[in-house]
Amino acid sequence: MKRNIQEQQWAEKLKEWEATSSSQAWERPSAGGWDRITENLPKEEKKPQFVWWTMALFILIGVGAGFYVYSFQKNDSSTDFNENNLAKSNLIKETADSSKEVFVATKTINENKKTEQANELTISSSNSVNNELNRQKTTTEAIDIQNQKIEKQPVSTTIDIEQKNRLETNQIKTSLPQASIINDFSPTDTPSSSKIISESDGQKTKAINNLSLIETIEPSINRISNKESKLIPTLAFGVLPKEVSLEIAPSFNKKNASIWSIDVYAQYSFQPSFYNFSPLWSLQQTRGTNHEKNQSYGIQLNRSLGKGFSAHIGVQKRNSFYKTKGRFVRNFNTNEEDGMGRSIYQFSIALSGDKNIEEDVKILRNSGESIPSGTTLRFNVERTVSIKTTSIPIGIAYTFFQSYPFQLSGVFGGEYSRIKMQSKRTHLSIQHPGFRVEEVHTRNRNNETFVSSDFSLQAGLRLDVYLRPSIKALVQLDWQGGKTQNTPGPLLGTGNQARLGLSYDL
Amino acid sequence: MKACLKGDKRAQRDLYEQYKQLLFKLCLRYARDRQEAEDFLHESFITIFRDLSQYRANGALGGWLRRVTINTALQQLRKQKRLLYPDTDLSQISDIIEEEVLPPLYNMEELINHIQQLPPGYRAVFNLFVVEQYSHKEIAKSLDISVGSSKSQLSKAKAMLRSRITSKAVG
Repeated sequence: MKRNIQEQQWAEKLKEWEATSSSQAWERPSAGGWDRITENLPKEEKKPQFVWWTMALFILIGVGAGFYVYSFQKNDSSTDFNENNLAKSNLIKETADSSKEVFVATKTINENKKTEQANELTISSSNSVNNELNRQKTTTEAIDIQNQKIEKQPVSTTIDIEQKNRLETNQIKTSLPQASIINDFSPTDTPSSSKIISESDGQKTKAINNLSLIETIEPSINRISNKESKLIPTLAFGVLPKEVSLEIAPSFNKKNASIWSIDVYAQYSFQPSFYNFSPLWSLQQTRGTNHEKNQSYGIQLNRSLGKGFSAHIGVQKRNSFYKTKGRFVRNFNTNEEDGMGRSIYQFSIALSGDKNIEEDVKILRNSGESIPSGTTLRFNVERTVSIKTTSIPIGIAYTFFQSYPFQLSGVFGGEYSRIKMQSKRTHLSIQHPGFRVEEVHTRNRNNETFVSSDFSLQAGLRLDVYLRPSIKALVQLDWQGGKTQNTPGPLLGTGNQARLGLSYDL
Repeated sequence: MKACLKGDKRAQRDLYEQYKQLLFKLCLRYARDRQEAEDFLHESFITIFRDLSQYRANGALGGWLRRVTINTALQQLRKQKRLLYPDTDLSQISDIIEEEVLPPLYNMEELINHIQQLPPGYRAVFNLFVVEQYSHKEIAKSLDISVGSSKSQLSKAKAMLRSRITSKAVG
């Protein structure tokens, strides 16, 4: 519609007036305006700081727990190692070097497997015991192949340096098919298991006590862990000499890692629940996340998919509770009064995007009080709101960093949530002398309960810290974003969460 | 702006001080009295600080603040159920619209008083159409009324204003 000249003049004049600095008192807001606003503003954002402190604390606890486990196992294993293994032979008398050499020999065998399938490992009583070992500076070592099985002893002393001189003159040349050594090896084999190895010179078949080079290391691990059939690399780290640990660990990991694990956790949300509802409604809150109390916990089942990937599904509950405050302003109208000084005023409280609660408030004017029409009446309303959310998170994780006792994974997934919100009025008063609230009637009480659902996406980072062979502490930080049923806009209901819990390998 | 977004009270205070007069004057036009204008201003700044992240820097901040304030004022009026007027048949008022013209301007305080004395619905439509330069279609959409009702209320608002101003001048 085309505007006439007067309208344009009015518009210009009014805008000009608004833009100019106010000189008169009536044009300026009252001095206490800012104080009133600050009372209702959320407290200064201290959450990020809290998040970092929390993360730092978790990491500190994780590192501390890791070192504790590591040092505990190390002390324990060194004692065990000395008592049982070194006592049996003097293999580790020369220790750091000899264990290193044993490891190197093992490694050599593995390498040879790839390149020299037809080669034979020669065990000799001469100074040059073994061609392969000689290459690795084991010229002074002798290898003694014991013919009898050792059933109970965890360590089979197949390499005995002390017997070096004894065996010098009796050269036993044994051909050991390489494949038999490597392929038969299993980290879960018990020391008593035997394998048949033929001598290359056609002598009688001998039952050789296990695979000497490898078994000298492995049984000690089994003893330490007291779990012969289930050994995890984490403990192996604590037991083995440094040079060995990093090489051996992965094979244990692959063979023994649990496919299933279960998490139990508590979760803290860094965003108030009402953000997931109408922005209009949030206006009426006590503006502050400080007022909100929420409890969130869940259980989650994880399944390893291999190659660092795992899938998960779970159930999560979240209970939030907080108070809301609202103020309504009405003009007193004497014409609306009945003969007894009663009048009714109506309020509409927006609970969610499209649900309102209508309340009729009957007020009574004190007899004898003469209050003119147009007097401003202020009503204060307080309500409690509880929000109960049941969610089903589902997703995948990828472990991209793993070093005992830590494991770091990226997590991505979705979450379906069913939300039930209930509101209840707890207080209603009139802020004017001469009046009192006589009766309040809520017309559409059904709207006090509101059920909705939403689907959100999640991405996060998860840190696991081994506390025990099958138990890990977990810390997970998530970003969550989604479209709730009752909120407008492209992406609402976003938030950040921290999860703290335990994970058990099934 | 960044400090405001982080919840820095000092920065928020600066923003408030810078725009409080402009927005308060705007609120005075939509409110029935000074007290209600204070309430509108209060709610507006709460909304502003809460939704500041939605502000895009490519537009003028003042314009965005004005829009938020107007919307907040209308929202408050809607909540109070004071914008409910029966729709009027457009055909019955078309002639009146053409006839109603605004009187010439005079003292600003009295003018604001006259605007404040308009019924809430008239006042809202008058402000949106005359000052904010909304079309009737936009007004109808934002107030959830029909276009006819918007035109009707504007016409009545102008008639009422003219009547009050004239009587004041005569008196």
